[in-house]
Amino acid sequence: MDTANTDVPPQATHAVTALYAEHGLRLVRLAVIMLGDRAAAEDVVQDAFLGLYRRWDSLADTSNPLAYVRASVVNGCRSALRRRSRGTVGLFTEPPAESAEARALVSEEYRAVVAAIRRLPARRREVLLLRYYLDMTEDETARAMGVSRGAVKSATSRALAAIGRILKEES
Amino acid sequence: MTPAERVVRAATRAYGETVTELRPLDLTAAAKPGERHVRPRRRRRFPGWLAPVAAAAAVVALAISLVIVRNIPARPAPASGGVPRYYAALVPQPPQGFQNKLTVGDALTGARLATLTPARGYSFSVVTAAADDRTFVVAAQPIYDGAADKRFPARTWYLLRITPGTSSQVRLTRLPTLPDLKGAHLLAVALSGSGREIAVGFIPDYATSPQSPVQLRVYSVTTGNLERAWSTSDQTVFGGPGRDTAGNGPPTTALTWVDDDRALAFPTISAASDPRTHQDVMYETVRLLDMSAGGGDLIADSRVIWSTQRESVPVNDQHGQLSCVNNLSILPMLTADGKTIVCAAIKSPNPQGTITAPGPQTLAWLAYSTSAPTVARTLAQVTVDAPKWTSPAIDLQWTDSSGGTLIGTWTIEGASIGFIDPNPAPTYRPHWGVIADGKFRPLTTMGDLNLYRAIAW
Repeated sequence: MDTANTDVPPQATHAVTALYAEHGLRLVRLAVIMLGDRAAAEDVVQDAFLGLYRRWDSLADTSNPLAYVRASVVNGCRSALRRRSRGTVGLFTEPPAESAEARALVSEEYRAVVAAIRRLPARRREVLLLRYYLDMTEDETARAMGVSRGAVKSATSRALAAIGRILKEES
Repeated sequence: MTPAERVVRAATRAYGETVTELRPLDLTAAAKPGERHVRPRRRRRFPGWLAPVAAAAAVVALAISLVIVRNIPARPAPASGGVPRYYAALVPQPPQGFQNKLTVGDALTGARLATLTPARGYSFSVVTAAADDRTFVVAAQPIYDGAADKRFPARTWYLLRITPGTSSQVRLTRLPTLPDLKGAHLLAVALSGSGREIAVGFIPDYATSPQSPVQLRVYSVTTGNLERAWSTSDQTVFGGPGRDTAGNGPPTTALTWVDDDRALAFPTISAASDPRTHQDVMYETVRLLDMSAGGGDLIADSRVIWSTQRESVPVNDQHGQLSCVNNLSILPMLTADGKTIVCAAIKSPNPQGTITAPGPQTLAWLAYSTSAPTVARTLAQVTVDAPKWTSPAIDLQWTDSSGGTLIGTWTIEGASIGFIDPNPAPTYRPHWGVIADGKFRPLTTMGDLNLYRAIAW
């Protein structure tokens, strides 16, 4: 990404642009799974990277900006879902509908699993996605969510049990 | 890993894979790094008794907003001096210029609002504007083997919205429903004045069937639905496929919406030998296609509203009278009111049959009334004395709805060295100007936009 602002330290621009090129798509996918809304997912990810760029100079550890931006995406999705549940997403925001691509390309069984994940409470949903979509370890998940490793283990176990229950109810 | 864990992993991955492309990142929307981000003061929650009032207000706001959305002005909204304020330009990147970025700017203040980079491995290839001075549609094509991939002239489409005064002034949103035009040779793209429809002229399967009929299709921007379609075996429409755009995208003047989006206008360029003089004669026309009429034949269902011709001159094509047909690289354009043709022309002082030598040349922007199509009116002209081995060039980027005000450029083109120079010597920088009242007034706010492949206003 280029910028017209020549005052921007080039290392921040280059680092954030490279990080976006490498991880942006995967993070948009994560947000789409969480939100079920492509446009909202893209907004959350863009905001996360803009936040990283804005705060680059104040980052404690610029060697691992992915951890920062990943946590921002998770938080952004949580905020978006909270706004949606409060009905404050704006007059023109359409309710999330399953995309045509998802309907065409993803089996009914898998779509049911994703739908069940979206029905979980925020923490359990995030734990599942960080652990099984992003393949993060329990420690990494704990750091990204700002909780203990024990909380991650417990939330994971409960989330998987809940998914099983939801799918059984709907079958 | 348990079966449940395996299912969660497989399901989320399968779902995630449905997203295959990434919206370009616009870092200009962010404050500078290190700059303190001031959180807006949190408003007090309103008391419960205000909820019905708020709900009623929301309904009113929705109604007002819908009225606004339905009434995007079909006429240009002049910012200053009768020209639109915002532009979007495809800017090639040095050194080879294989990739075009998208520069969004404010011609009133000279500010660059954003420079957007396409997704990795892509180049922006098309830009077209609505009449509201805020809405654009852009397309991107892949880069293959170090050059624009002609198999996909416009693979991915985006809606570009400018919202001045907001934290994110420039917003690019993917338009996933518009076709990817795989294998087509793209000849013309035009967003309607309202921004609701996009017209696309192309030759399908051009690599394998270059003589395929030319298609003109109109799609809904929001749904991607095909609304109208025409075709013709006459390949002279939109200037013809011989115009090698070489990564520049289709010319922004090859197709224009007129008469409040009720009609489309497009040029044709053809050549034929005069049996009497045995000279090639160039014919240039502008045709008008009434959207309300039925039919699907682009030629039979449209009519010629302006035409001109001239005998080609073997050595010096630019000699003679000032005429649109002197400069076939700039397509003539019908104004939105349907009454005037505008174009850009060059006249050399050299006598017929001599090689162009250094010396002053006249560059002019011309207008023809469709009611008196043979009489050219000079809107403005400049005289350029180009150095040896260089030549002047003229361009027309925008016209208002009546042809009273235009935006154009003139440039001295030097010998190409095959690389993009982002900072050309002053001699070779484009001179931007507003053409009105018989004068070419420099548009100094275009600043250092020295290189661009296409620009839409």
